[in-house]
Amino acid sequence: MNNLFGIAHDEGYQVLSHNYSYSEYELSNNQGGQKHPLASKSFVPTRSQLGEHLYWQQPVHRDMSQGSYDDTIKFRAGALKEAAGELDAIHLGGINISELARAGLADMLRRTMTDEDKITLYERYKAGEISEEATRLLLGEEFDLLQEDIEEFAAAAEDDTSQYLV
Amino acid sequence: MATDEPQYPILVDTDALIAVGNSSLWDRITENIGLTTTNVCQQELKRHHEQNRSHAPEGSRSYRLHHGSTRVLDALEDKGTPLTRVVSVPRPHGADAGEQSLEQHLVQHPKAVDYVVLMDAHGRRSIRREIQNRDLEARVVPPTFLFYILYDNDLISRTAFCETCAELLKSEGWTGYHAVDAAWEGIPVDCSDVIDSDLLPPS
Repeated sequence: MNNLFGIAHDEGYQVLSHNYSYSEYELSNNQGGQKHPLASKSFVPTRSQLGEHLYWQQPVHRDMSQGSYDDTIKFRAGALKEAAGELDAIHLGGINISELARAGLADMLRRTMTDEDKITLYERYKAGEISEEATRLLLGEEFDLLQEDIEEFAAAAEDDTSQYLV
Repeated sequence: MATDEPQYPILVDTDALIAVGNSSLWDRITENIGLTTTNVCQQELKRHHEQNRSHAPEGSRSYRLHHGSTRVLDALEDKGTPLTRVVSVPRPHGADAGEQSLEQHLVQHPKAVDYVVLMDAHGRRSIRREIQNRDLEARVVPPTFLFYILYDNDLISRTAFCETCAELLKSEGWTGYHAVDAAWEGIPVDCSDVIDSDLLPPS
């Protein structure tokens, strides 16, 4: 366990040095509100058939509302529940309802956004109030297009523009 | 090329010309910067001019298309203004004909073009890919670059630059924000003391 700890400790600091931030909220969430003594170093105790281990946990930007993969959304499904269940039963190999729901919701969120929503979202991203992951999820390809344009403009701002004057 | 007009190394498409034509810096731009477009874009400008009413409500999209295209077409007709056009052979057709005509001109005359100015972000990416694939050196930028040239050469103040960006923010929605943010972050320049806070959403 000490060896495991030592290796994981080093890895943890390497990652932390790359500007990741650690969130106690994420850990306490996983442990039913009881913080582990090593929580501040991003380790979670787990048990397996080989005994007790400490695992280094991927740090997350909790302060920017970035959710973990295990976060859930509940909604009233109505006939959707029966429909999804039926299709799962009759479709060859079944269907991945969670995956379809994630993809469908992401698509509808993008379609729901107005120009003003996009501007507000990106301003909040720039102010550090929304994670890059959530911003990318909502803006899709447009996020990358904007980064490309910023880079191109930055390169153009190095050019001598006086030669284009008449 | 069936033209005896000078060709300038900055190529501009229809929508970028209209956006800049509607700005309060249009006269400064046409007095100071050499720009070239294509006969295909000129045709698109004529169509916008004819299909949109001059008495459309001020500030509406129709108003901007009509008045912006009118100002650009007038400048194209005026031989004393450094806004010229080249003729595209073969002539591209379809919804993206204007953008395609710029790309075609760039590919045919790679050494004559330094910048391609486009309003549409997807169009900019498409031409950038073509430039990469063909190992060319031109840059593809949003129309705010033309405001920047004036600012960079002390022909306008930072305040005027920022205020003109704000006009684009008001009129062009996310597309305008995209063009303005690329400039502000790319240069970079801080316009927060000039821009009316209600133009940007509350953070």
